[in-house]
Amino acid sequence: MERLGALINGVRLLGFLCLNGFVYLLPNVLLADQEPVRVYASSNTIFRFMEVLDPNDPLSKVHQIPAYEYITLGGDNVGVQGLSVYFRGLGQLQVIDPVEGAKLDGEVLFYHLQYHSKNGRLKAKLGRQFIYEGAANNVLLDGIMLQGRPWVDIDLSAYAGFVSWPAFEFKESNYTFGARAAYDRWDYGKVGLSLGVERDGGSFARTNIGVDFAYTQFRQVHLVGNVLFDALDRLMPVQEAKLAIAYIGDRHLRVSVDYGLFNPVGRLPKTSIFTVFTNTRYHAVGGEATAKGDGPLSISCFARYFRYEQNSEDGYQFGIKPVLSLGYRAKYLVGLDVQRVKGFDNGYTLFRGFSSMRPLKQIELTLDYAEYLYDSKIHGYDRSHVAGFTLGYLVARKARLQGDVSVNVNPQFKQQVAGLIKFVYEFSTFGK
Amino acid sequence: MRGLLRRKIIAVAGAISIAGGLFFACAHLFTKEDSILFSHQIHVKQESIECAECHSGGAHKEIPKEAKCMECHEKVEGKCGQCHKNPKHPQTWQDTRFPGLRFSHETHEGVGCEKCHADVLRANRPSETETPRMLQVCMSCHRRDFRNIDCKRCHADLSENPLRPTRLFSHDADFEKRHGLLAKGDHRVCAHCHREEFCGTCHSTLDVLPPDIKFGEKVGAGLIHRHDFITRHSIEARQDPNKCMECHRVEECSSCHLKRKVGGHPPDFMNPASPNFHGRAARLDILACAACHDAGSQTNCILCHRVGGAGGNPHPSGFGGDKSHGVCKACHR
Repeated sequence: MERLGALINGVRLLGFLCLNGFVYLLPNVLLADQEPVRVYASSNTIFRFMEVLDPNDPLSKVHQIPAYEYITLGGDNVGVQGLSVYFRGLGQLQVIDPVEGAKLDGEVLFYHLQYHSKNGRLKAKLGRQFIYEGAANNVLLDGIMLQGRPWVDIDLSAYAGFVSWPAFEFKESNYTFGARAAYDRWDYGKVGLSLGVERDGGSFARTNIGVDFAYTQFRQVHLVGNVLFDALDRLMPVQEAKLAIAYIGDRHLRVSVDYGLFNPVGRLPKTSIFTVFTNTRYHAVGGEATAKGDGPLSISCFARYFRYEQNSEDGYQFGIKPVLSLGYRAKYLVGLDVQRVKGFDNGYTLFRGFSSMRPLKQIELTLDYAEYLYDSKIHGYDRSHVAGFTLGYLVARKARLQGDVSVNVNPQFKQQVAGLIKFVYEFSTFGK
Repeated sequence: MRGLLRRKIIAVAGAISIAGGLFFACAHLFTKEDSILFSHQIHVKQESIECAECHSGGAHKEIPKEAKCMECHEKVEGKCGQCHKNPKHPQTWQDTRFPGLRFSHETHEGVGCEKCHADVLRANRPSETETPRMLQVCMSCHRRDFRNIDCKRCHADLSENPLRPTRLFSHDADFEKRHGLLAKGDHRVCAHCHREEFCGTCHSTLDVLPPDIKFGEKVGAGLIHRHDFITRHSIEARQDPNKCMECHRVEECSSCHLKRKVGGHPPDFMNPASPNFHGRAARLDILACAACHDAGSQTNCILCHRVGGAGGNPHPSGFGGDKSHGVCKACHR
């Protein structure tokens, strides 16, 4: 308990520093030059139709026709310089579904009010947001985040809020908070120390201390890594460690190698009764490379080896993807993709061919065919096939209409014929 | 029946692939777009015509219209091919300059045209690729702005910026696999062109459509969840569970498995004498149970496995703890 108290005090201290930074940076806010107002919106309408059936059981045929509407609305410099609003929501209408019945529902995916100072030294965000840096490790929350750079190259941030759940439901007992302090030189690298806490039902579901670092040499060699420790455990064991080194300076060759140590317990909530069992730590080492000559051919490949501490099991994955791009801005594209994945208890081999072309500026056609061969049968099937075709038409510079048809023969759905009609519209305007 | 259907589907897919390939090849052979055959080398270097003679205007130098050409050249029937690459389908020159760029030729007048447009003077015909490249041309003076990430000095709207410095931030090949590494290294590099909200297009645990459905046309991209992922997800989740848990919470597994009624129990699941007894299954693969029953302190295990319950006391002999751990609080509130 003493340790927990100390941690909470640490968070309070970081929060206090952030608040000081906010006050310090306030003059920057008031002296900012005027930027134009920008309003933007996008609409993404998708109609899907699916016919799902088991060829062995003709009565199993099920038709589903869901429709989805994604709407994004936003504005920058609205009323106050640097103040922006953002909303992204999803509506779903299931017209026919013999299994679950017709339904209409929706979801607020993101919403927030954000203030960003002109020189980028202060940021405050209120609403549903994604916190990805440090020990927070990709948490989606409904709350507040403050970030400031009160001194050159020093980056302080803190967040607090409720963990986001579907249907905009707040679980009052499930909340999270954390903070991060970093020495951050954007053109060289950074070192950060962070804390991420999640409480659920009055207990600590997750308490991580994180160290993250990055180093860039001439913007060509990147070294990125992070380590997560379990703050609740007296021994502070490593829950996760990742290190990647990449060479991304030359468009002709990009190479990265990485190592990772993972413990699923570090990600599962500690309030889960199952956490005591799922302690199979594993190591992953591998790399990726992309080579592109002056001609139209590019080849990318990857390989990764997994070592599980339980029973000394292992697994691997590797693949190669040659792609031929012809014409200006890859007007014609043809590619192959071969992958082999061997998991903990099953594996598969993928053979895939795909192509796309833009015969006219407004039209885009794609073809995609994939064959999966499974090591062990899944639901009695040892392979699955997918064939897809899309036709897209650019109605205007910011509007696109697309139709997709795909045929899947797979173990899970047995057979599925699916189609999709998508209309994307984007709009943005500047104004004083 | 199943085999016949499978063969039919493969045949149709194969026919579409072959027809598509032939269509692509023919289209590539027979499509001829028009372009203007104009040589800056001849006009500027050999004929010594001043740039401003054709490119009028102050802040935004204009691309000359056909009438400007006709001041010196005559339109001769049947000789359109002198200026048009495809005279059968002549098109006017498309101004491809990015409208969101805050650039004034007036302000840069002292620099001299050749400083930025050296490639144009060497070329025999104008093209989009000869517009000044930011990294080579702009950076010769504006490196400090670039290092200070003061992009808005020149770019009015970075979120739709097609002039991104591709040498550094190109999205070719399997960029989707690498983007996490780059974003973790310095997300401000991404922010040059993308708003932070853009991440939410794919990284949303509350979304119902996976990226490969939303972006089905991006066949060359290394998107996850592609094709028949629902069949493969158990293989990939067991191989690299952390990769799943970077975005998904365990509760998502249970909600989907319950909705689809996947993972039913055999009839002798509660019989201790049976090889299918749930206790044995749980010890062998507790994650399979957790896929549906991991509801934290609300788990249904403790309905029976509790002191005085049908499942008996779950504590081993000599068990002692401080009861402060979250698991203990499921019963000991």
